Amino acid sequence: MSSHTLGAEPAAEQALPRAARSLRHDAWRRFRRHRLALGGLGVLVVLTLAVLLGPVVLGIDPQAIDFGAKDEGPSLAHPMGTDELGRDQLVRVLVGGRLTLAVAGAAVLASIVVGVLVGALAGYAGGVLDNALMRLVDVFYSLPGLFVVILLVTLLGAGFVTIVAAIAFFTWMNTARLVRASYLSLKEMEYVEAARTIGVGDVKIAIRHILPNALTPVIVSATLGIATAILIESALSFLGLGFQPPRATWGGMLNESQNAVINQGHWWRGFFPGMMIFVTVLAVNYVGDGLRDALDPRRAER
Amino acid sequence: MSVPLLEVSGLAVGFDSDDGPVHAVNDISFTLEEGEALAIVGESGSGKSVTALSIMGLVPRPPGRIDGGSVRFRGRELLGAPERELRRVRGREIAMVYQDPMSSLNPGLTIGRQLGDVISHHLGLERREVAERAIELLTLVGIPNAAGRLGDHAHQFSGGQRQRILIALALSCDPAVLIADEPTTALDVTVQAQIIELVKGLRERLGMAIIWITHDLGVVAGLVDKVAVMYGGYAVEQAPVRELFARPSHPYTVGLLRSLPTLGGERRRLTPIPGSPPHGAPRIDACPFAPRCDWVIERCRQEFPQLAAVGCEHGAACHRRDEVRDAPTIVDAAS
Amino acid sequence: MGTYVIRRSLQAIPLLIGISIVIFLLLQMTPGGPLASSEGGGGRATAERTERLRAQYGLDDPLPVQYLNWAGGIVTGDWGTSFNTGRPVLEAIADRLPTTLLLTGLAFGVSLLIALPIGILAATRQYSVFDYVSSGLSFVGVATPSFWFGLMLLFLFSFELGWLPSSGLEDLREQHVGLAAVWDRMSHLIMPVAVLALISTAQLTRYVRGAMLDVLHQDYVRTARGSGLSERTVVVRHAFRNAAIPVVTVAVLMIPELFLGAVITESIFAIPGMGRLFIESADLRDYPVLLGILIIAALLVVMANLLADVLYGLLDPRITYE
Repeated sequence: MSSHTLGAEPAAEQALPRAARSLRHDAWRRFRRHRLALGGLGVLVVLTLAVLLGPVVLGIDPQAIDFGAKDEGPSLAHPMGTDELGRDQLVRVLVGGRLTLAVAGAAVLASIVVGVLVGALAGYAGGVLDNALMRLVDVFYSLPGLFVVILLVTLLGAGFVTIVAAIAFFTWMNTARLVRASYLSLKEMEYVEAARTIGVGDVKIAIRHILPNALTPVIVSATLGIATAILIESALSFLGLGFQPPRATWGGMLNESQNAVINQGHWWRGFFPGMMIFVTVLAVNYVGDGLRDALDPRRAER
Repeated sequence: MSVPLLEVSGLAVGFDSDDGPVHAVNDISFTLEEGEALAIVGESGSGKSVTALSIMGLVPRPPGRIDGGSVRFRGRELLGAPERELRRVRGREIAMVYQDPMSSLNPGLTIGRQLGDVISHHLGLERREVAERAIELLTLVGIPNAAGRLGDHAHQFSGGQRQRILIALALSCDPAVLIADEPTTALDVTVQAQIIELVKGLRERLGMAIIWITHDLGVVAGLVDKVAVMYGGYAVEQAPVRELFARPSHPYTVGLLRSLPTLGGERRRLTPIPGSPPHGAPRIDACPFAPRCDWVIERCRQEFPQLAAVGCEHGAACHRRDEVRDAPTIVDAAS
Repeated sequence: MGTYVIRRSLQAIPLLIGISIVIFLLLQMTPGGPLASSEGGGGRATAERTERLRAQYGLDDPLPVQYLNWAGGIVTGDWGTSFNTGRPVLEAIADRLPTTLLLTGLAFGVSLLIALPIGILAATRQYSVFDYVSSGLSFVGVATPSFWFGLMLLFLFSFELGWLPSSGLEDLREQHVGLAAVWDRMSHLIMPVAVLALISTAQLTRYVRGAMLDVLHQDYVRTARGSGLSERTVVVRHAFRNAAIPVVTVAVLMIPELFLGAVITESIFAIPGMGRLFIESADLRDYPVLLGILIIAALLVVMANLLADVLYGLLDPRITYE
């Protein structure tokens, strides 16, 4: 990247310094070596395809009532068994997965947006604004997360937006801290100086020059955030406070199954939805771990 | 013929790393008699620290591996001996002073405790006697107000003082061998001199054998009896100290000497040795120093030079050892 | 040291004020404000009762006034009265708090008892089978939803095997005495504590192992080994003592998490604790009780942080306070 030619403006306007681009390439190679992370990624891909296409392929209506087949354990016809209305659990699990994953994805997205905004503002502006925002982060960290989520959902009703917002409400702080830290260090770097001296505006610098680099640590946090979001949403639904029937997520199915499992021994009603949560969260954690190692090779081998 | 105090033969140590095996030490041999002082000299990466750690059995395995050789202390084999036996030797018969005084002392324990643990473990004295001995040792190494400082923690001492404490720790049980791994590298020059004087004095008083590891050939003159020069994990020259300075017989040694500043004599340029040391698997079909050598010939790239005699108790691993030995050197025999 | 504690406590006050404001504001978020939906809906209030309550609680005053009244009350010990039962909030909370504290305390104890030895052992035997298995298990444990775990445990031990009771804290059908009473109490607690402690144990084990590994690779541990000290002395006195510092900090910070996690446990096992009270009150829109519980939870978080800080300062000799 030549810095002494007349074409300095375009050079400084590059969104990513070349070093960062080849770092991503390196990181991908390192990620590929992580077998568990790759496995996790594979599982997630299969899972996503299954919940999206499965119900269509199977052609069974999740709401189809069939008293003739009620309360059956897993079998060839119904691999995950049926419930008291004779509904096939496999299809219900797959359909429930759509909602669960959708909520988790939206929540993480919302959480990142808020976190990046706050973090960028705090890190770039510095001074009083930074202080104030960090106090806000402290306050949020001290709030009893699950309680407030329960509260919000109870008060405002269990809709998609409410639940997503409530989850995001409690997970944005980590992203904010990471982004702020990135901004604090990156804004002192030479290429930012260079951009500033040729007159590039602050906002543009913050967005086009620093942001892409600041997002790197957020990737890991966001990935793991998906797991957290799934767990929170499932917990919420399990407590009966999430989506109301017939909309069901995995957590909701677990809630419905309580009586059947504990008092009637229909273990499959609770086993499969919970297993889906477990497998998804586990896979996401493996991927997150792999990403963390891939993006920061200086971490000692543990 | 009496058994030497410490006898290292054909020691070879390797590490498993992401990029393949690294051969840190290849075929090192030397002996140490009672009260004798040996210096192991080499650049970082030459394998000198690993050699020292291997004697004590402190090389972490994995990723380290003992690839071969033997280390005999008073005739007993240490390599591969059970931990129980090694623990009896460590600290009591062979003790080590480590390179980095800032990180080698436990920040969470008082130094009185750290000294006391070792003393009571090996010598089984009572509490009061342990404290007395600790005070004695600290005073010996030059820590003022030793009694009052037993309750202090490592961070309350300066770098030089911490090094002294490490020395005190090593000496606490009257070991027969003291291994000093670059004890002055992390310190200021003035403090370096103090530490060297301290060790010299201690050696005269206590008569223990010393292995002094350093990258600075200038330090060893006047301090040790013999020198082993290491390069790339190999011993490239071994000789009594005066002999080494007078008739260096390996181009690397010559290079080391030439890069030393000297007082008096004619003014000359300090010449560093260009290039950097090798890393990784040794090539047994060529001399490891060939890429950086001033004296290199075709044979050097085709045949591995063995360590062979070039004088009395003086060996060098170079095909042109006799020529190098006889070439006029710039440095006089060190005073 | 004392001055440091006082200073940090004082610093916590603005934080608590900020938290209380946010909590207060949150509760105003119901469409129509507090009590709006209790008319005919979730509560037992009639229109006139609502009017009475509005006047009684000063709900027609401007918000800042309401906040100050409430906050002032909290500080002086008057936490208000429940919309639902009319009893003082503090009383309602005091009823349920010990149960949740019991669960939390037991789960904390269990976590420590399991995580410390396993984490230390895994670190000292790095790369061994034990290490791989325990690390794998803790990784898996962190990903397990506690409610699923609880449900499966209930199925296995309550329904299938009939060894353990499925709900409550004690047998309501008959009074036990002596040893039978002890077992009765214990059997009701085993599964809830196991469920609550699952994730924290897994997390703590990973953390202990990590902290020990860090320390074990330090130079001063090599010095201790090189001095011939026994492995036990090296690991416990020289290594763990230093690893304990961050471990203690993390462990203390887990207490609030456990407290919150109890919500789920109490729900599955029908245990009358604070978590259940919170859910019930949320359903009934019982604001004073909700506010009270939230404040207690926030207090717990702030105190745990303070405790962690203080402990860190006490344990690390490098830190001195002016």
